[in-house]
Amino acid sequence: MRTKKNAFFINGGPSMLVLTLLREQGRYGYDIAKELEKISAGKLQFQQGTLYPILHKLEKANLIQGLWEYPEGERARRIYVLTEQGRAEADRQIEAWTEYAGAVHQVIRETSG
Amino acid sequence: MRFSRLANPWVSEPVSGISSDATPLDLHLEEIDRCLRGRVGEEERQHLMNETAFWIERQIRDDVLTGVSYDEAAQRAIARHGKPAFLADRMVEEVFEKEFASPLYDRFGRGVCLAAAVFGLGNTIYLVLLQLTVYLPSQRAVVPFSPAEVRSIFPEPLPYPEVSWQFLFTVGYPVLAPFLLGAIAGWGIPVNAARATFHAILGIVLCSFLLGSLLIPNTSGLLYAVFQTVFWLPVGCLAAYLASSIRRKRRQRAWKPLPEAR
Repeated sequence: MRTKKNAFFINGGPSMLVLTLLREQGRYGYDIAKELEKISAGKLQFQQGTLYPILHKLEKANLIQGLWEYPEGERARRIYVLTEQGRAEADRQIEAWTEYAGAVHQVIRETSG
Repeated sequence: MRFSRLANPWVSEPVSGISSDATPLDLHLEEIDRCLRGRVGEEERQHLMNETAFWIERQIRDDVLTGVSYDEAAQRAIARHGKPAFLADRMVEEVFEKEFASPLYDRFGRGVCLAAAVFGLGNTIYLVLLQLTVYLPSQRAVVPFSPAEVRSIFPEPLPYPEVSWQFLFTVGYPVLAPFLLGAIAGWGIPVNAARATFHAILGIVLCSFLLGSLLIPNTSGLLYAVFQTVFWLPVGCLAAYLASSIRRKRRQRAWKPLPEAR
């Protein structure tokens, strides 16, 4: 059943993962994808064409902010950091996800004998 | 066509082990850049290209660190990155979608909203003018022939053709509208104009069907809805696709680099 409360797990799962990663520190787009791949042991893979729309959507929603860095002699790059609003949203989504995942595990445990 | 490596600012100089000729990576980035030219603002294009080049360079660097040769790492990164035209389209779409914030745009997409506005307005204008035309007194036929001459072409029992301005308008508008409206919508939508127009016309058709159902037993409304489905839908999408493609090509042709950009 798709309720309003769990709809974001279907629509916004990747967004939640990005917000969660950015809670630790600001990261470049590529580093976000790489870190997700590493932590998930290769199960979650993001390409540029998938990740940047998510980042731009989060930026538009004022949950993250993209800051340009211009290191001398190197290519300009953009680092993404959480905004205050984004941090609160990340906390809220993680809490909701934990509750949801716990409920699903509970059901599996109870029904798998 | 080969591009000089030095002419491509998106490939960073610190990467070692590349010959002075254009590499597949140069060509890949140049192709993305070419697809973006004129379709997004210059500053935005530079940002997108910087992010793209940074992404690929990091991928190459990570592979090289695991012992893979530079050339092989570059090939892998390009293969994983995807087709340049597709990627550029995604980027242009992103820029287009994020340009203005609106709950409607978030829900349906800016392209669909734009196409729906154009076709919705065109449809409403027709329905309003149709009411006026129906309730105005009938006008004279506009053909410069006498009834006898007309009857020599349309003999009995064929109906006498009605060729008043009112008739021409009521028939001509729905025939010409999808060409014009599709072109207007396509002109304003840089990517996936046909898809956006398709979704927009589907909504309009649904409204027409509902309106047509309310007019039963008069079937003109339903006929109009069917006509929109079989004519407006394909023609509108095609016109939008062509207009969008033409505008893209024109903008790419007209593109000139900013003095400080290159």
